[in-house]
Amino acid sequence: MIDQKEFESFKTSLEKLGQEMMEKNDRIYLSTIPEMAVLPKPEKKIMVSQQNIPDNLNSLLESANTSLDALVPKEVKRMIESYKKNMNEFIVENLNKYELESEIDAYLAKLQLPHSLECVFSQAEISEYLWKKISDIQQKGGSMFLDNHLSNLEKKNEELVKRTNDISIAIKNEEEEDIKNSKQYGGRWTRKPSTQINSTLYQRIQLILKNLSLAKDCDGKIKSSVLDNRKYFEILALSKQALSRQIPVKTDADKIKNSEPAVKLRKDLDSIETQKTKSIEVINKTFQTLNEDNIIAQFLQVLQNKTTEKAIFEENKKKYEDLIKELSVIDEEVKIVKISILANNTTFQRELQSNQGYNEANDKFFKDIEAHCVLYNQKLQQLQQGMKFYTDCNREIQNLSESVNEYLRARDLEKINLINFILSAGGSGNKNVPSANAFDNNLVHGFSNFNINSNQNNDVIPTQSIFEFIKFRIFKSILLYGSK
Amino acid sequence: MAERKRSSTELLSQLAKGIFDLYTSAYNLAVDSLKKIINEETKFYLNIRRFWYASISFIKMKDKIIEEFDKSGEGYGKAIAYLGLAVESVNVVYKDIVFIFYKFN
Repeated sequence: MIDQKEFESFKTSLEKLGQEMMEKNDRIYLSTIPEMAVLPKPEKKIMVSQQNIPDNLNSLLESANTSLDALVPKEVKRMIESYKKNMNEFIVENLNKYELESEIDAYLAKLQLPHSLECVFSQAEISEYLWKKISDIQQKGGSMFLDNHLSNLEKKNEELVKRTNDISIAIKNEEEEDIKNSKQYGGRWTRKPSTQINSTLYQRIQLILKNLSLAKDCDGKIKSSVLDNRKYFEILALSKQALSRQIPVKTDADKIKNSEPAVKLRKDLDSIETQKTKSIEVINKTFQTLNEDNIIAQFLQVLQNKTTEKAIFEENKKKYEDLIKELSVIDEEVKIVKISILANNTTFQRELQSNQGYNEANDKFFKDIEAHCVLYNQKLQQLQQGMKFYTDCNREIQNLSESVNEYLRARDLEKINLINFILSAGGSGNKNVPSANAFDNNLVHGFSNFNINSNQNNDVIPTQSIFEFIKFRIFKSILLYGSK
Repeated sequence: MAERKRSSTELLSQLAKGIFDLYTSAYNLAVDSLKKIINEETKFYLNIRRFWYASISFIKMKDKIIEEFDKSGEGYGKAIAYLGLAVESVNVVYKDIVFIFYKFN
């Protein structure tokens, strides 16, 4: 950690140099040595963004896990992206082997279920089964919630577009200033033109704006769909009594309601709903595992030639196969229930058609309600995905903004130094003006040669300085090229 | 390059002072709010590192003044005073270094 010998050597060298300087001063220069207390203090310069210490220090530990993400080598980032893409394809391919929620709904719809069952179960009043679905929607906030969500998404989109454009303008202003200075100082303006450095930032901005534009189109489509179906969404906001009054014809279907096929069908539909919920949970868990999968350490080993990308993929594949296997159990259950539904539904539909309990208007009414319950949940899911997109996008813009601020600060500092140099050179057109790279090297060499006098005593450089040099380079690369 | 080096020497001094301040904040946090969960070795380490950077900051200030002295012939005494501050900074933590070397090695 700290080498005592190096520190001692450093201390001795300082004292020795101080002694030599004192002797020189006493013999030759005879300069007055001011009191240490009256010396002006060196100004501090911190070239990294300051972060306030949070109230909850545990959050520091959480952020510490991601704080070094930016230091992941580019090759590893590329490998991780490729891994996630391939794993995603593998999961989707495996999921396609099983019947998912939408396919089950489509299958039931083809069998006139569950609305035809509702014609029987909701005679004078909405059945408990249907009411549970409707009250779930009401608890989620109904159509007003959709409207608020849509309005929030619209505002969020506008806000993010504005923030991105502001960032773009700040980069453009710096670029224009650089061009102006380049014209003013001609050949003495030796640093790299902004246009050659800021293209990566512009690319990030373009990508964000493109995604925001696509998101806006998506929001528009959801909005028009919500508007088209508003009438039904408003019906879903009614109370149980009010909704029951909307049933077109009050029928008497007690006989068929209590028949064996109807009771069994109700039981099967309940069972299939449970399986659907389980299957959604498994799918969500699988994708959540993929998103949270921390595989940086594994891919760093690829760089050290200890393993290969393919080996890591194969190793992790097993984990997802095990997760997806849970779906096969659910799928088996669904298949058994479907056979039962098919058998009972044939008898039930026959009885229903021949019974006075059947009414075409009622059938359409319940079909619409069921369809709009599904549609509501779909729209809500889409809006939640939209909000998640804007949250992610906001984080990306925040990262971009920090990168741009640090880039602008670094360029500004570089500009001031270069102008000072040009002015102090008296406009002599000195061709030895250091370039921006020379400026960088100067800083780095300065740090790596932290010793008393750069012309002597090189052997007193503590080895710690090498680490400081490395750390400094890392900080500087973040400073100049952003964290992502 | 010589003209340029002058500005960068000052910049290095300022950067070292910045790092000194960062270590000071960390040290204050360690001995104040986090004193129960930070071990003694870390507190020593932070204290030594902050004075290490303080001395570097003063050495670079000294270098800057020597550069000016080379041109104008003035300020040699001031450079000695800055070097004195660098020595003082090292001396402040020297006893800590000896102590932790004795205690932890």
